[in-house]
Amino acid sequence: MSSNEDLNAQIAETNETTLINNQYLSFLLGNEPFAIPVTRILEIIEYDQVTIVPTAPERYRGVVNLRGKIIPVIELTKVFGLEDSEITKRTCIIIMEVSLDNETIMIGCMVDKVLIVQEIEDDAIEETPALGTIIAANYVKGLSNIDDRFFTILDTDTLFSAQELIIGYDAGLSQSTFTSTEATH
Amino acid sequence: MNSEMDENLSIFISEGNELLEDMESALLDLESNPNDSESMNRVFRAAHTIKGNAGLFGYDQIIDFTHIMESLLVEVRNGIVPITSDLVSLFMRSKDIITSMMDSLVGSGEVDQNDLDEATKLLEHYLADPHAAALAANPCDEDGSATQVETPTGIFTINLKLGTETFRQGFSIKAIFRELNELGVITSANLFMPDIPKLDEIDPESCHLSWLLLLESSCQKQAIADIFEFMDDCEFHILSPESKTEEYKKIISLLPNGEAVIGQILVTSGALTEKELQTALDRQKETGSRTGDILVEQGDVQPEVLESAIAKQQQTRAASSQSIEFLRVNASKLDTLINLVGELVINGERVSGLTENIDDDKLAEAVTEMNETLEEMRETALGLRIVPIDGVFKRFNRTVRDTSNELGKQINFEISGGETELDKTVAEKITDPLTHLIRNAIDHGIEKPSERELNNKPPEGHVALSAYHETGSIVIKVSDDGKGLNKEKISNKAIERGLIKQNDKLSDSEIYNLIFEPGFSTAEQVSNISGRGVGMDVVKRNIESLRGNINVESEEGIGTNVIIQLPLTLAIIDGFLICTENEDFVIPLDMVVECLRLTKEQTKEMEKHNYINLRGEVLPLIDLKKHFCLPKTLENEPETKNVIVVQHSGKKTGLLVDSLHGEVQTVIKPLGKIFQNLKGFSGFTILGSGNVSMIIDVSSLITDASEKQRDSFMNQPHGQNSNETISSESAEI
Repeated sequence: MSSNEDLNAQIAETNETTLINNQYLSFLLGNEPFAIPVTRILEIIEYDQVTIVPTAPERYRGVVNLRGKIIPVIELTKVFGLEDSEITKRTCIIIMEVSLDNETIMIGCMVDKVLIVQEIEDDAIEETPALGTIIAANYVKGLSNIDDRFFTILDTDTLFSAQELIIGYDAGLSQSTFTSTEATH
Repeated sequence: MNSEMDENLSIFISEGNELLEDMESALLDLESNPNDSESMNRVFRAAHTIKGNAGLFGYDQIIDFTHIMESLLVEVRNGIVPITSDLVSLFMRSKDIITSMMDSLVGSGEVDQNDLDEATKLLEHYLADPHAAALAANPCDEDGSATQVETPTGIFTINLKLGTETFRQGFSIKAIFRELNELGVITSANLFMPDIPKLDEIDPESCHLSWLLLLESSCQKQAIADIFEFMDDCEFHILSPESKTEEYKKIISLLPNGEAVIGQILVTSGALTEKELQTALDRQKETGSRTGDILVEQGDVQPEVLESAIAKQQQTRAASSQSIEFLRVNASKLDTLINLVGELVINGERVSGLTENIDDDKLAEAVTEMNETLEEMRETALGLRIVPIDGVFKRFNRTVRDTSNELGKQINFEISGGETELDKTVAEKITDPLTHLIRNAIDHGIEKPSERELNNKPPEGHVALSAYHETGSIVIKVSDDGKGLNKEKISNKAIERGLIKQNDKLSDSEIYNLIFEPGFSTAEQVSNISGRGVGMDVVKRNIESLRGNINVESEEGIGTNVIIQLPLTLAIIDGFLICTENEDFVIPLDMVVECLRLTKEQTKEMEKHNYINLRGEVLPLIDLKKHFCLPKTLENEPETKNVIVVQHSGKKTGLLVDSLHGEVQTVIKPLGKIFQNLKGFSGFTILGSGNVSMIIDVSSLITDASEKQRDSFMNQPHGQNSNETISSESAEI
């Protein structure tokens, strides 16, 4: 078990040194192991002071202040329909950079525990079975057997698509606006 | 290097666009008042500067085109080509072409070659034959136009001393006089022979003749000087007629600020020829007296003309020292600075909080001083982005002109309150909605001239655009004296479109506001200006995205007012911090009217209905924790409840919360891509504690709450009268 600092250093190093890599960060939701590619990960922070965003869909836990930036936090258990888990000292937020409609934004994913950064070769990832995935198949890129445990490798393209993330995305598309509704950044 | 180029290009473009905008507004001024020399000057200055800047970067297409335009402008300025409506249109068109040229530089558009060719041809046509072009442009005015281009005649005093080599160089005195006669009538010719040598020293081929000639002519001074141009050793001084003095003075005052040398100013104005100046400068070197004095002494210029040139020189110097005080800064750098200042202000508050309990006078003093400076800094930083709305308003002259021409309506367009200041971001974003409203006013509001006369109105429609400040916000009003909104027509249309039901009872203002519903349009005939049913709803949404609101007032047959209220700035607001279920929220302070602590009776009353009795008035309440469905964090409900009363569109509403924490200064952070469609909030802010808090958008919160309430009544019908009252009460908000 590594500390957040070690993991952050490891993530930063992999993202700096290699353009394409097979490095994955593994984490737990409840007791289920998952993994996501490290390429989009910026850092891991401890769970602390999340401000509720009322009227937002349930999957949004709220927002956090990361050095002056406001970051929306997604509760992955809610997205996947898994059982809620309690907030512990191990609860973390994985900060990632995602691109929505040509705009890069930062989001956070709340997980129960981060494990390690490890290499998973492409051929070690088994195709998603039609049945028997623990979460909806469209979020799954494949499964990987690591030390006799099946890790669910997440499909970050679907998980972090504009459709999935932006509130009222479809309604927003049908609106023809004179100017972008985005205020100053 | 490349990025340097890009930066230069963007500076060129942004400056160019500003100049073009100014040119357009000046052209419009010129059209209504052809004698306005300042406007003429502005048009000229804009064209000239754009040409110069384009030259720096080597944009040949722009240089070539603006050059032709500038040449024609010179003719216009000198009164050779008269200002007609067609000419103004041509210049407008040229301005649009330059705009498209600049757009094409950044790849956001293309230049229409046909349009360019045609415009170039027209410009050249005017240049080549101003008189004919003026006639062609003004065929019904054949008699008048001939005198229009002629300048008054006057008597030039020509002091001519031929050089001794004149004859040997092959010049003939007869030819000189013939040429002078072509320019005008020589009314008097006195021959002098001051330095004739002794008889035995006379060389018959040398010339020792001098004349004092009076020539009556309407020509330019340079034309006379041209006759003597090739006669190297001849000395001449031409004093322009008194009648020309005024003209020169006028030209000098029209000159762009940029030339600071008196001699050059005089040459440009035509009061002095290059050669005269050269002679004077040579003499100045010998004698050391001032150029101006020499020129008057030599009889080259009238003293009055010299005076106005000196005045011009001083004006130029003042202008150039003024321009140093302006600095072009990248807007994003400014935004970063403002954000940083915002963060600093927050941090300052945090420091004050932390030091409050430390008993140290010196520390307290330092903190107080720091906060004062921070406050000043915040004010200054905010001021950096504040601009007068004039720049936006002026663009609409063109909109009105084009739209009214297209529709064949006469419009008297009035702008007031242009000096009202607001945030540049707001100013930029308000342009499109306003364009739509103004076009709407002309298209739908103002009747056709014939129809107006039937209704005893002047044939010319009146459209006014005004702005003023009102308690922390800016109000912009678009008014017209057209036919006004037809309530019946709107209701029918809304029923037809299923927006309201047949037997719905709506107040006047509710009916008028139906025009902001998506898919609503009452234009019987779809025109290409407006009437496609998209528009008003988009206008409303745009205004709301700026945290503003929009309202319509109208009286049938009299006219319509559209009133827009906008915040002065998008960056920082004074807020009021409230807390419910351990969640903090900020309410913009300018919305807050008062705070109340509920008595036990009032709490009971509140629990029965969703309102309380506030000094005899009904105050509808929104329980924030219920409305926001906040998770329960407190074991027991707090004993006393607090209500913060907010006012929006003249209606009061109470927000029920757990506790009140007073005023805070907040830097607004936008909702961002993910939460941008969220209703009820206008942004986030970071509190002194470092925690994030949401900023409540009172107007959308109230709309949302009243919709929710209405829905809940529809689902489980209540018979109670009191509740009905509330629902319609809040629905109006």
